[in-house]
Formats: sequence, structure tokens, C-alpha cells
Amino acid sequence: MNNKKWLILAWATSFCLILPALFLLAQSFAPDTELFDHLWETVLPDYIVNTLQLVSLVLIFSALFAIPVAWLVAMCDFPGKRYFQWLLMLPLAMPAYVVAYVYTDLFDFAGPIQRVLRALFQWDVAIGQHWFFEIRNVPGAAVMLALVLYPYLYLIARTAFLEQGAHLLQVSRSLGQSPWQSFKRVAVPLCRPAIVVGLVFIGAEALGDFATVHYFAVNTLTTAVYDSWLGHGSLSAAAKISILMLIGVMAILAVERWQRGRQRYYHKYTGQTALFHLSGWQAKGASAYCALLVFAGFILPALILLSYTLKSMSFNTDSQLGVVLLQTAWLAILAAVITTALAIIFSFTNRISRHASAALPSKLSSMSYMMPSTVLAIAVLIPMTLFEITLNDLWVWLGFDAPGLFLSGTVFALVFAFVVRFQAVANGTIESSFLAVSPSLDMAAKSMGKSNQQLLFSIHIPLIRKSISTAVLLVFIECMKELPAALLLRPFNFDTLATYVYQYVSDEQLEQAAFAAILIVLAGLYPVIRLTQTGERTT
Amino acid sequence: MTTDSNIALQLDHISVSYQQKPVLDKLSLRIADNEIMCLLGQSGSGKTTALKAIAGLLPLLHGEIRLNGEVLSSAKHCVMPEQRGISIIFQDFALFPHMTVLENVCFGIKASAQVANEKAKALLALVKMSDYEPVYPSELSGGQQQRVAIARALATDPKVLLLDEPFSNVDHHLKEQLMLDIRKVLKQHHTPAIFVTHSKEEAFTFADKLAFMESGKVIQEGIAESLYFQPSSASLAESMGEGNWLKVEVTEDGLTKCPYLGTLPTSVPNDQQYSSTLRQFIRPNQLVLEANPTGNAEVIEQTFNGESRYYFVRLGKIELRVSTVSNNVSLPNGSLVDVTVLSHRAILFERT
Repeated sequence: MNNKKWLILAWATSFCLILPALFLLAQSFAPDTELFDHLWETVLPDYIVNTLQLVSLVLIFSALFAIPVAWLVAMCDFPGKRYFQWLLMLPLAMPAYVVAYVYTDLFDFAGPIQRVLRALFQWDVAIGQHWFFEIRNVPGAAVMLALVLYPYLYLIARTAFLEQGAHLLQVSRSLGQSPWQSFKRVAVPLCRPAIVVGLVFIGAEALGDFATVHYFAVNTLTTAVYDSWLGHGSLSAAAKISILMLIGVMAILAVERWQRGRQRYYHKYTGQTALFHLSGWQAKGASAYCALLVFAGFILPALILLSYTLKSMSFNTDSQLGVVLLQTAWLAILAAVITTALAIIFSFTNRISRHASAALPSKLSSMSYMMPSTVLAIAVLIPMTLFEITLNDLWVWLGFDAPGLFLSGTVFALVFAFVVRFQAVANGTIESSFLAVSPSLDMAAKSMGKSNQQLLFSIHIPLIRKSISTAVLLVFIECMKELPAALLLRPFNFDTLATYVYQYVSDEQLEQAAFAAILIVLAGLYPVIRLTQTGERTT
Repeated sequence: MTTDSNIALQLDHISVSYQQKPVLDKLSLRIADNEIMCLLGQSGSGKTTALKAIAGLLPLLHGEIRLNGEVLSSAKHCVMPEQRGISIIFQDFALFPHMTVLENVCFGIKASAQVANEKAKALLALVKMSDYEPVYPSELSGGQQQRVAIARALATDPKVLLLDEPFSNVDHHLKEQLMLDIRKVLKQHHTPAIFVTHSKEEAFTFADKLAFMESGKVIQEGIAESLYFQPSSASLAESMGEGNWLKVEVTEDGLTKCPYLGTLPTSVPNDQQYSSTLRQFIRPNQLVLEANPTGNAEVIEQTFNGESRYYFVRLGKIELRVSTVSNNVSLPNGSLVDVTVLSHRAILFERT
């Protein structure tokens, strides 16, 4: 295959991957607005307010959690820093709906904390003698989501603080600015693009979350999407609401970019050393704050999950879990292999082709990662159902039996959604590994008369095989954890590990699926370990 | 000249460790008002650490740093970097990339916005950067960034300016003019400065006084000529430029003699005691070649660098490096020559 054919292949596949987004956009202009108008006149304004409140609070809490600890770990020396720099990432492995369940169990009226307080202070429940905060509301859901989402911002902000380097802050101090002024005037403004990217990502995750808000009975736009599609079967209304959500994400990005103007933030520095050596109460405070986040976001939920598992050992012999595990595994493997193969095609094409557009397939196919997964699931359904309806009509017209929902009614929809959603993960891993292969190797192989395929299979793939397995593994784990898209797209009577656990959560019986939840957490730990190793190498 | 009355900055036996390794070892220095001092030395000799200690960015283990008589740092006391009135310029200039040139210069000025703007504009005019006020640092060349960094550092009226390898990121052809310009600005501002480099050319052009550092200590301090012609250590002699090492003995007349070249017209410094086993350092430009068909030395290789021509000459069992001005007639390889030594003060070290 010559360079041109590789370019066509890359463009064709990336076009397939952006097709859902394009159809979503088109569908949102479709005239079927009866349900949307009805929703708009009844519940949608409340849902929008709830969504704005939820996302704003998640962003505020995430910033309050992540930015101070990113700064502490990047710029200060304090007891335990070495361990906290990776421990702080552990909550990434914890699904938000599991954390929500665990904390509700802990802080609810019937939970151990309130029971102990009532017994201790002899509160009379009947006459409302005491006040205790309510966890099942918008701020409660926001804290739960922020507890597991803050590591995204922590990771990005920490890297940004590290790359900013000590020099800028040292100069700032030599120009008469205190550490706090230097943080405020130099460090944070410089990290703004990174912080915004982190926040947009967290915002998109919060926007797309269904499980946590549903468990807390907080109705958001995601609820509206689920109701429109699963309740009323209106793809058009679901698409319109999805577009509303997407506009929100795009608007934040656009405002940040516009405000940035000509400024360049990049100031890469690699000789980093800790700038502030904390001691006394400052050091204790820093360690305590980091420890609190790790405890609340990971250790406590993990311990409670473990205790559920031990308590309900007899439930874990559930034979259904084995089936679920197996079908989740093959589904995730399939999606991971396809995603990684596509990433190789994109990166290889970009490498061999001199055409200006060669870099675009990879970039375009990565864009969906910023799309909330609920939105993505709806977007995937639109072209599929359209194709199925057209084909069914054609089949019937030709006198055959209609093939039915052979795409949207099967695991194909799920695999396709996973591929679209996680293409960016594979692209990132594969692209960076291709960059590490010297271009002179290509020239040497070509000078020896090797074709593009020979170059790819005999030089590149053996050299980047570790990254290939990493990409496969990362996508595999993401697929295993993915819930909102799986809930919307799974075929009838088909469960993934995440939907299996979620069902128990929504039935208030997580204890019975605690072992499955632990499996999800354990799987989620792998990317965290990878991130830690990469972070250590960079620093 | 540094006298007790005009000392601006004084380092007394300061010791600093970095990651449990000693980097500065009882370092002492004195910098006079309006003086530009250069810390010269190889990588790892502790030059940058000394600057950071002066700026208050690293704590002292022992010793004391005083500025105009006031103790800034000691083992028990440390004035915060922002309260010292000492500006620092790093090798990468560390201009704030999210601020324009004017905003960078205004950054440290503690005055109303209008006063700060006026002052910053005046400084930018001084460093010839007035046309770039609204420009961001990423849009400037290395030399322009350097000028902005100087203006920003001077904007706070620092009592001392520290410069860490400030010319290493500047194009070679701009460097000399930039050094002269910045030197002029510092002198106009009466700002004492310490700058760090490993380039002797930069040190000679920019500084009033040099201090050569090795293993965290100052080995020798003085004006450029004294370090060049009277180096106190072999490593300093080599750092000041390449040369030839000859095994010599001191004669009764106070001269030196060596095999093949005989008695050399180089006077032995009489302020020092020498043993009989010495080695002498002779620079290539202190040797002269003269074509002679019966000469006892042979040209074996030569290089040309524009301003001078270097000859590699074999004399008996020794090989010498000789430089001549390039417009002299070239001696072909293999030709026989006489080698003579120009009269100068001998640079002698004990043989190890």
C-alpha cells in the first residue's frame, strides 16, 4: 500500500469515528420537537439549573481539592510527599456511584455515624432535636463526583507546575513578591490553560454522569437524555438535549482560548527541585490535607467495600458474575484491539505521509474524548438507527425478512461507542511511542527497498510493542469501567461489570456486588500505576 | 578597588549543602559598590549555588552573608528572598510568558500603575526595547529577552543584581555588543552585580573582577590579567586558555630550564618557594617559530581559525602548541623550525 492509500484508509476510518458527532449535530435540527418542547415547558429548566449547579460545584470542589495538593507536591517538601504524589491519584480507580453509595450508607439517617451520634447525645428523633447534613442532594452528589474526579486536575496541574519550573517563581520572589503573591500572580495564571483543560474534562465527566445523580435522585440533563431515549424513544429530543450539554463544554474551551489571545504559556523546565521546605504546622497541615483526600476518595470507600465483601461472602458465589465478567472481558478486548489498531494506522500514516492533512485523522478521532459519554451514546445511536431503518425498508421492499436492529440492538453499538470514546487514549499512547522511534530508521529501511507494510510490521511494531500492549490494556480497563454508554447501549439482558454493579447500587444492595465493585477498582488501579511510573520518569 | 568602606556584599565562610552533598565550602567574597564580579569555574564548582544562596533561595549551613552591613543569611537567620532587594536573572531569563514586555518590567515595581508604567518605559528605553512594550516574550529573540530581563531586574532598584550564565542563550555575534551595553546600563545605575559563567571571554569582557571557583571554594580572585598571567592553580591556568606543560628546573639565575629548549627567558616569581621538580605552563602565543632548514623542531600539524594559526611542533620527545598571527606566511607540515620562548613571568607548579 502506498502513502496515498494509507492516507485514504486513515481518513476513512477517522470519518467513521466522527460520524456520530456529525449526525448528532444534524439530528438536533430535526423537526421532531414535540417531546423536547414538552420537556422544555415542564422539567427541563429545573434540570438545566440542577446541571449547572452540579457541574459548577463539582468544578469548585475539584479545584479546591486538586490545585493545592498539586502545588504542594510539585513545589514543596513535606513529610510523606514521595508517597502522596501517587496516593493522590488512587481515587481515579473508584467509581463515583460506589463512593456515593458508601457515603450514603455511612451518613444516612440509618447509617452508623448518625446512629452513634444519636446514642451518644440521646437525641430524640421524633421532636427533631438535631440537625445533620443531607447527603442526597446536589452538593452531596458534587462532593462525591469531585472526590473521584479531582485526580485528573491534580495530575494536569502538577505537571504544569513542575514544567513551569522554579526559576519563574524564584525571579518573582527576587522581585519582591511573597510566596502567596508569586503563586497568585505567576504560578496559577501560567497554569491556567492546563487547569482549564482539567476542569473541562472533569466538567464533561460530571455532565455525563448518570449513576451518581440518579442514585441521589438529582435530575440533570443526563436524566433528561435517558428519559427521552429509554422512556419515550425520542432520539431527536435526546440529541437536542445532548447538544445543549456539548455546547456547554465547547463554550468553556472557547472562552479560555479567546481570553488567552497571543499569550504563550509554555515554559518547559526540567531541573525541578522543591522550592519550599515546609516545617512545623505548615508541613503537618500539608500532609494532613493530602492524607484526608486519599482517605476520603479511596481508603475509606475501599475499606467499606472490603467489609461488604467479607460480610456477604455467600453472595459472591453468584454464577451470573462469572458470565458478566466473561462478556465484559471479550467486549473490552475487542474494543481495545480495534482502538489500538486504528491508533497505529493514524500514527503510521502521519509518519509516512508528507501530506499536510496526515495529522488530522488522529486529531479528529481524539475529539470525542471530551464528549460526555451519555451524549456520545446518543450520538452513536443516530447513524446506526438511520442505517438500520433504511436497510430494513430496503430488505422488505426487496421481499426479504427485515434484519431488525442488527447494529443498535447488538453489542456492535457498544463496541463502536467504546472505540469512539476511547480512541484518544490509544492515540496518545501510540503517537508518543512512534515519536520515540528515530526517523532515520524509516529512511534506512526504505533505502533497503522495504515497503510501507514491511516497515510497519518489521520495524515499527516490534519497536513499539510495549506501548501497543499498554494502549490495549488502558482501553480495556476504560471499557470495563464505562457505565453511562453501557447503560444506554447494552442489548437486552446483557450486562457489563459496571452495569451489573450499578444495578445493585440502584437497588441499594451494593453489598451483594461488592466483590464485582472491587474488581472494577482493582482494574482501575492499573492506569493509576502507569501514570505514576510515567510521572516519575518525567520528573 | 574593594576596601572595607565600600563593600556592598560580603560572604564570610559560607557553606551550603544540596541534597546532603556539600556544594559550597567556606566560600568568602567581597563585592564593592558599583563593581561587577564574575564567578568563573567549571560545571559543578558551586557558582550557581553561590548565587542562589545570596538570593536567599538556599539556606546556609555555616557562615554569613551581609548586604551593606546588614546580615541577610546565617545558619540561624534568613531574610526572605522578597525582602532582600536582590534581583536575579537566570540563564533562561525566566520572563513571565503570560505577560507582555511592559507587564514583565512593571511586575516588581511597588508604585501606582502610572508611576510603574513610566519607570518601566524608561528602563525599556535604556535597554533599547521601547518598541516591544506590547509584545509577549515568546515573540522576542534571545538577545531581546535578555534586555527585557535586565530592565525587569533593574526596575526594583536592586541593591545587588545576580546573573546566572546570562549570555549563554544569546547568539554569538550579538553577545559582545550586548555585554558592553548591559555593562554600561549597570554602571549607569550604580548597581553592583555578580555574574556566573564558565566562559573566560564573557568574564573578561563583562566583569571588573573575577573569582575562580573550584569544589565550592574561591581558588583565586582578582582582575582578568592577574588570573590569566598569574594563575594560582593548574586547573585555573588551563581554564584561562590552552597551553604547553614543560618539566623544568629553576636555575641559580632565577630562570627556568628544560630539556630541548635549554634555559628559558622566564623569570621565576621570587615571592614563592619551589622544589626542584616543577612544571611550567607556557601559552601558545608565548612561543615563536622561525623557519630553519637545520632547526631541531618539526611542524607536524596545523589548524587555522581566522585570527591565528596553530602549529603542532615536535621537539625531541615533546610536542608543543604554538600560535602565530594568521597573516604570517604558513609553514608547511614537515618543515624544520627553531622554537624560541618569549620573555615573561613563569607560571610554575609543583609536579604531582
